[in-house]
Amino acid sequence: MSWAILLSVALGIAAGLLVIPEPLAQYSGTLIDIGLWFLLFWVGVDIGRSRDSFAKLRQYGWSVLLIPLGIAIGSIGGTVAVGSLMGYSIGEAGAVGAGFGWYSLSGVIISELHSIKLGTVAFISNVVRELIAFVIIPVVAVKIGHIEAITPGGSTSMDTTLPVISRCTGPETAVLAFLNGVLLTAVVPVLVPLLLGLPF
Amino acid sequence: MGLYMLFLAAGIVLGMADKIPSMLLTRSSGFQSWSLIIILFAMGVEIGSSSEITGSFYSIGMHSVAFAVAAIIGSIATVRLFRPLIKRGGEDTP
Repeated sequence: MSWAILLSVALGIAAGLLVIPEPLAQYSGTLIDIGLWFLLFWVGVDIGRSRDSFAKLRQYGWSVLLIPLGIAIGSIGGTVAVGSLMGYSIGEAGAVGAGFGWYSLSGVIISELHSIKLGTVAFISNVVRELIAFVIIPVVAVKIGHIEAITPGGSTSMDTTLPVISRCTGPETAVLAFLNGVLLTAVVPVLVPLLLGLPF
Repeated sequence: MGLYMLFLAAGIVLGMADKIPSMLLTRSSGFQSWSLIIILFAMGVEIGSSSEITGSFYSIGMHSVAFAVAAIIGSIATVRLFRPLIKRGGEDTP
């Protein structure tokens, strides 16, 4: 799926550069809006049906919520700190960080609600986050700790980076990684627009 | 923004209430994949047809990497701080 996603963006860029005339390209925003409504509805259905995950959360205790909370604070805090050095507002930089590695959705939402430039930064940044995560999860698991090994992947700890986390840690951390991914995935569509709405 | 939240909330409510026909549920993953591919293609078209983006790919790339590294370092550091407060079974706690 990751390859299909990257390929569709690459084909779109090539089409925008070479084939599609500018007046027609302006309608891509409408297509993105309609597609996003449809996509978010089905993301919501998946979240609503994740009752087993939430039951598991109660079983572990609410302190495990500190993992996604720490990832959210650290990701947004980190991007706001670096973003302020590069001339971004708190809301813009925070929204990029609040993608938590979910490059497809955060990039598209930011493109629609803010600008295609910031959306592109968010998309590439979150792709790079996932790539770095694959490389450093094994190192973090050994040098820092198993819980911390969940963090580089952000919301991808429930799918693409889960096998690496599981292999480098163990079954209990893998369950926590999955729960973490579910919770972060649920907050991305809410947090990104909220941060973009900040007046500073 | 309001509409995005509305569609997400509608999905959560209908998903929790089991109001989606199973015929559609089995296709949920396919619906998501295809809508993603279509909207990302459209986003690519916007990127490709924007001279602002194509003229500044290098700086966009550098900023993106800086954001990614900062987000990862921030996440690891914050969760490391919270770690003593996180209770767990201890099956594979290093």
